[in-house]
Amino acid sequence: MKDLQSILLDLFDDLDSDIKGIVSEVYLIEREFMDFYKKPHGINEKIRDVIDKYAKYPINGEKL
Amino acid sequence: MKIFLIRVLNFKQYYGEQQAAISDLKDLNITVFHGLNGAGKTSLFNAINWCLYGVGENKLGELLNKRVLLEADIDDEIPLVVTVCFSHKNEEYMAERVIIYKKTEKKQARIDRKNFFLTVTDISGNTRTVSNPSGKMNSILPENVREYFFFDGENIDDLTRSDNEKIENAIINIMRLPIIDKTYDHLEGIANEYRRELKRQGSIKIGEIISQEERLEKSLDNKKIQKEEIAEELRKGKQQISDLKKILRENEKSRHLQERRDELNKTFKTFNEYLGNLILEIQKSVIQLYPLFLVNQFQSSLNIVNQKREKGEIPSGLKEQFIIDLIERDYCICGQKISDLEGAKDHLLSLISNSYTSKFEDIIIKLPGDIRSVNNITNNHLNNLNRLCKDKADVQQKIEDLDRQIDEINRKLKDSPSVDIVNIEKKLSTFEENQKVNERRIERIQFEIENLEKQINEKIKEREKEEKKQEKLKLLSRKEELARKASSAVLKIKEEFYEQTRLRIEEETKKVFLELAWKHDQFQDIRLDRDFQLEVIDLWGLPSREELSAGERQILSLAFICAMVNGVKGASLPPTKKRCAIPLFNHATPFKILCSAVEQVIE
Repeated sequence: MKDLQSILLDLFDDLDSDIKGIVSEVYLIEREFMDFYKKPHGINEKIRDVIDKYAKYPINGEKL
Repeated sequence: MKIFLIRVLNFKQYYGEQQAAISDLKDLNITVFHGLNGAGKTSLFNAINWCLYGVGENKLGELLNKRVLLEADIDDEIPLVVTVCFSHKNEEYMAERVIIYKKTEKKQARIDRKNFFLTVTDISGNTRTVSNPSGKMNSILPENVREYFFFDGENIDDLTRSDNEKIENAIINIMRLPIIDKTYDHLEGIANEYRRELKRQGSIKIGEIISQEERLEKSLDNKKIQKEEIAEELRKGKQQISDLKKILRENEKSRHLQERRDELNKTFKTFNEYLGNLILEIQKSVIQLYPLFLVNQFQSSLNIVNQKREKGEIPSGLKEQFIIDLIERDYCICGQKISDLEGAKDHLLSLISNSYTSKFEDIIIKLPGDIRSVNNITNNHLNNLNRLCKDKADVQQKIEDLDRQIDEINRKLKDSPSVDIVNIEKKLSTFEENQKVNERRIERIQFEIENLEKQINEKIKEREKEEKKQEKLKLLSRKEELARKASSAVLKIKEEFYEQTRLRIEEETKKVFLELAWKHDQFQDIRLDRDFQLEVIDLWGLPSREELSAGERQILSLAFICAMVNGVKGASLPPTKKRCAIPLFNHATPFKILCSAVEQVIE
């Protein structure tokens, strides 16, 4: 029987590659902030960087 | 995370350095600390929590061992150390919390300094000190879920008390659901920021389109909330219908008995009414039989009349009018003139004076006939009475039979639950009607949602067309699109993952609870609703979490914790000797039922 974290990863797998990349990276950032930092200062900048990266250099698609 | 060593130095009643190894053998994977009251079992448990999370520093009283304190000299430094070694994801960790005390007076010491270290040794044998030990510990086992893995057996039933939110918090924290929530919130917030930026930087037309989009999205959100509310009603309705059907199925036998009893009661009532009418008729009939009591008197009367006739005191055949007519005509029936016969008229007159009135004479003449007639009528009434009495006896027999049958059914129903089947059927019918209404409502709302989504997509295309005209907005537009799509994807993942989590924990809790509970046949189900409210459904299909005894709550808590741990680990229940579901359990409960439950889990 799969554990719930594996089920969660499977749900990520169903996404388009760019969106999957963004969601996975943002999820890891959120987890890191939740475990290691008391306050989420600077988290939005990190997420914006991730989105910026995928917007400029998409896995599938034309580079901007 | 698997603990394999605990070492304490001068912690509470542990004088000097003491250590305990925890079994990491696959087949013997349970370690039991057994000791008398005050031996230090709870202190060891507290030492682990204190070491890993600093928990209880202010609640545990004096941490430093008293004997060490007394033996130390003034200004001596006294170390208090707890070390916990554990493995986690192919790495070995050593967590160490230290307090250095300085003795100030004979029986007192102050804290000089304290520290928490975490070192990790990887699979290659390289060891390094973790720079943020508390953060790392939190990533291995978050502090807010600690109590579900290191739990206090004495207070275990608190977890499933109906008046707290511990279950909900436990699920949310252990499954790390807030990470998904926050991922969604941040992505959604950033998508909105990008859009605001587009609105600022774009043309007036783009601004207008975005405003329209926002309005449509607001309506869409409202519709989705409405849809979710109705869907929730539908889910609840479905559950209620299923529960009621289950009760009806389980009470099928009772239902037949109840129907039979109702039928018998109806017949019983009808027969009782009939019996009442029969009794009235019998009473009337008995009253009409009074001539029976006059038979002797009638016979005596007949005898008297006959005697009087025989003596000529009652003339038979001569009537008063006949004599009067003779006197008036003055001729006898023999043709002789009456006035010519001496004394004839006087004789006739004397006959008149001696004769009875015509009415009386009629009565006397009719009397024998009347008496015979009365006898006949009385005989008829007597026959009727006999028939009525026979009917009454039959009805009474039937009533007795019915009474016996009803008693028998009542006795059988006493052994079955007293469920009001008719009422349940009525309820079921109402629920089914409501479901139909809600299904129609949800279809309508779904249509409206699809329509709104179509309009929003049209607006987005319209906006993209406009944005293409402005090259500088291309990247911003792409970012907004990605953020929006990512947040939508997370929302879908969140809904799916919440549901999967709920179903998994519900299923596992049910399995363990029904396996461990002694009175498991008194409970038919464990339910975890979409708000993560845990409910125990009893034999009658009713929620009974509030009515659970302390022991049953302990079992439920234990089952829930097993389900949570297995949810994380992916273990399959029931727990086996090879895979124990219980992480670390400070078991000092006074309830024997739990002892048994734990033994069963261990077995």
